[in-house]
Amino acid sequence: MSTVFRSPTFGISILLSFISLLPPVACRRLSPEKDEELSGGKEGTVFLKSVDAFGQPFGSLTHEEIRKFQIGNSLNRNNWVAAPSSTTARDGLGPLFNASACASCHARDGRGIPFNSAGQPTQSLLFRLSVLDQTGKVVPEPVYGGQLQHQSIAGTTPEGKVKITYEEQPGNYPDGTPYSLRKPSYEIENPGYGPMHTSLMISPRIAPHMAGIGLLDAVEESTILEMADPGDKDGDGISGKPNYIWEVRQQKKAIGKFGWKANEPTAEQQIAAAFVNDIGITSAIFPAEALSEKQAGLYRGLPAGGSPELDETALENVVFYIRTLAIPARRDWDLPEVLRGKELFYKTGCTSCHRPEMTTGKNIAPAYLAGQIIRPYTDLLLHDMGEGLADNRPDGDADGNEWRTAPLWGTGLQKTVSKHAFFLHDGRARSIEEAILWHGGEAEKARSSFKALKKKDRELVIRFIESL
Amino acid sequence: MHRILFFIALGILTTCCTGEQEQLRQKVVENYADIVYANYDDAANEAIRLRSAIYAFLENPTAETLEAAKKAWIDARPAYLQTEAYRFYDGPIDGEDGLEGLINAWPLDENFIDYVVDQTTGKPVYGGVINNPADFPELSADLLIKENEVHGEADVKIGYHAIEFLLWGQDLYDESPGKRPYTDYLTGAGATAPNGERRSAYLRIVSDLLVDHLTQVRDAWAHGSTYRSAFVKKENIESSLTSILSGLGKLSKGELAGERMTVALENKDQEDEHSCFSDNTRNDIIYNQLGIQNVYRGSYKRTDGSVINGAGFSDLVALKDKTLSLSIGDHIDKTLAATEAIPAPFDQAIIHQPEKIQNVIRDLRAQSDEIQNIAQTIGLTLVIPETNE
Repeated sequence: MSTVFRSPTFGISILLSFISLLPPVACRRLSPEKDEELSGGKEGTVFLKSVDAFGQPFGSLTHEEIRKFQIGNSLNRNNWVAAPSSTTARDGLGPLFNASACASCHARDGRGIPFNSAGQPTQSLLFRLSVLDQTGKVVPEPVYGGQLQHQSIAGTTPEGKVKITYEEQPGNYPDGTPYSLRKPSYEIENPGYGPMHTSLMISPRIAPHMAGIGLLDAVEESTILEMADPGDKDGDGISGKPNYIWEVRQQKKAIGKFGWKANEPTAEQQIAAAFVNDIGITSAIFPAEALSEKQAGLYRGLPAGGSPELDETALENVVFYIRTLAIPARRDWDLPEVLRGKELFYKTGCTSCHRPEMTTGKNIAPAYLAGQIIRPYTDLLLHDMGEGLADNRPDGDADGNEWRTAPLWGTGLQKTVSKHAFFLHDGRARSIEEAILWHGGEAEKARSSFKALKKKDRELVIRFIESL
Repeated sequence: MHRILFFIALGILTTCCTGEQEQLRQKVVENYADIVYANYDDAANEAIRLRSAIYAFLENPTAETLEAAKKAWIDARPAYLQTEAYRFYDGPIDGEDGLEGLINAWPLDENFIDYVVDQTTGKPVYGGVINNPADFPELSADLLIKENEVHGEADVKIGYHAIEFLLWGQDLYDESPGKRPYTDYLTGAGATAPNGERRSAYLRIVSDLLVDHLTQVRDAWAHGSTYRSAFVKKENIESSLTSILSGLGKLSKGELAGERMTVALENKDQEDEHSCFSDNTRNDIIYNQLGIQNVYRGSYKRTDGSVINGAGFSDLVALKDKTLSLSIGDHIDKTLAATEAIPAPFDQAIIHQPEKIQNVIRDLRAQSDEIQNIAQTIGLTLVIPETNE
């Protein structure tokens, strides 16, 4: 399979390198690293750059595994319906929910479109809710729970809608070029269960693309810990802190890898959490609906779509599907301007957190996830990103300023697959450039170095990121 | 070494084609557009016939008029199912403002529409819009369209399968499709469910909407329409050919072989099938495959029996390789025969004769390789993905 995908790319790459040999090159020539274009390693890279680029399996799936992949895709793509229903394998939606299918937010397995045409949130932008209890501990909102669910099945009440307002914050590069960043603020309208707690903290989160999740799942804790420096002992201004999270299957704490604050330790648990919180579908990992005590009391009599609603085989199939989504290969990785952009990306210090390369663990099943040299451009660790980006809402060991380094692989295909260019956890950035300019805290230094670049060089950095 | 690179470069830079090929490519795309228009026209006309039968039933609900309406639904399906060969690229049916989600989407949110049986208690639960006049006092097309999109995506409340559910009811039986009695549409004495009038109103609205939506898709393909004009424009021929083949490949592999058959087969869930209320899923598969055959041959037999016959992909392939053209045609015919060999109903076949379905899956996957082969032979680059979104 992968060789079929490869041949056209190869032909073109030979042609391009042939052309690049033609004119005498005056400046120093940068060359790509070996296999640099294989972002997902030899096994986990797919050679497709169309709208379907995030939805393709690893090349070595067996016939049997392809079947599993298709079933998982079906459960991921199709909508869930309220119980009871003829389609018993697909019922149990809600009672409260954000979306009725995984693909509603992760359309084509991509990053959700966060805003509608009026600039207001779609289902792809969800809001975590919490308050401080008397002891100062962060707990879910007592009546609404840990997440605002803005939709509900017939006969129940949705929790409310969020209204976003923006404030434009103008700025300038040292060379005088102006820019403007928009800072969002959020307000909850029509709360369905009475006024919210006075100390409410809201944290918006966009649905990320799903390709490559299996490879990150296969990275061992020791690999992540090698990059960690929670107390900044080396004094480079970059911490890198693991978020230790309760792993339900193992009944112990493990390093969080998924979610904007690294608040889920495994792909499986991340998926099960999304099912229960976002769609209202229970599983063995999260057997209870995500309702507060008050809501659970109100909706006790409603029929469920099974106990749990997503049985173990179905969960296994969806997890298999998502874990075997391959990462698209880099495009134009060997063009001189992209290589120059890459050099600047390294020089400005972006790679202190957006770590280019790591190797997945040895003893991982399926075997094609193991021992892969991958290029996700993340360290999976938490970093203080400054006041500007802070949601001021702690999550596990992450404080209100900390976010997980977002993996950058696939960024360049977001426009093709998801038809938008909104970045960061809440989509406030309207371009890659704005996303860079929002970086603060530990990333302040890297941002300043980026800002100090000549305009042409700044464009090259972005050109490089677009090749990921 | 340099000479090899030169030829590679030449191979890539030299695009299509001889004059003959170029003319034929143009003809194939134009003939395709004619077929698409005629096929949607048939689908819209069948939907009009279906609407008439439904109106007749609602004016005078009897066992006979209900049977006639069900028959009209079954008869309306073949034309539409053949049009699914025109899906899976950014065409009028699936593009940005595509209407597919309003026409044929699945699974149906039946619980939103009308009463369903709670399988744990065996008792009906009288919910849904029909049984909720308090929250939905006035049933209207606007309301149903709004509700269809209320969750931001196609939660299915209208279209063919909504009509199917309203005519047949849930299929809770091994030996037959759903058994909704005509008396569900009565009010007062003899009524077997509350809100007969609202049920009638809902059914009337969804049958009107189906006609509207199919008409819109058809008109998007009319001579002189923006979409069609761009589609057949000389400079777009190559991308149109690629779209057409990509659509066929995606229907064959990800959709039919994968989503609609493998998933049902593996889940062994009686109702995890597309036309689950009427047990018409076998026909869905056969007419999808016929749609693929139509495009390859460049011919389409209309509902009235007349035939559109023009240049097809078989001719384009034959220009390069006559034997290959015939063998691809044979494979497509063989796959059609395999779909016809699935015993009805599909929901029993997945349990009792899975091998018949596995045969079709195998042939459909091989067919997608053949479609890739067509593309390669006529000088196009095409990758058919494992799954579609």
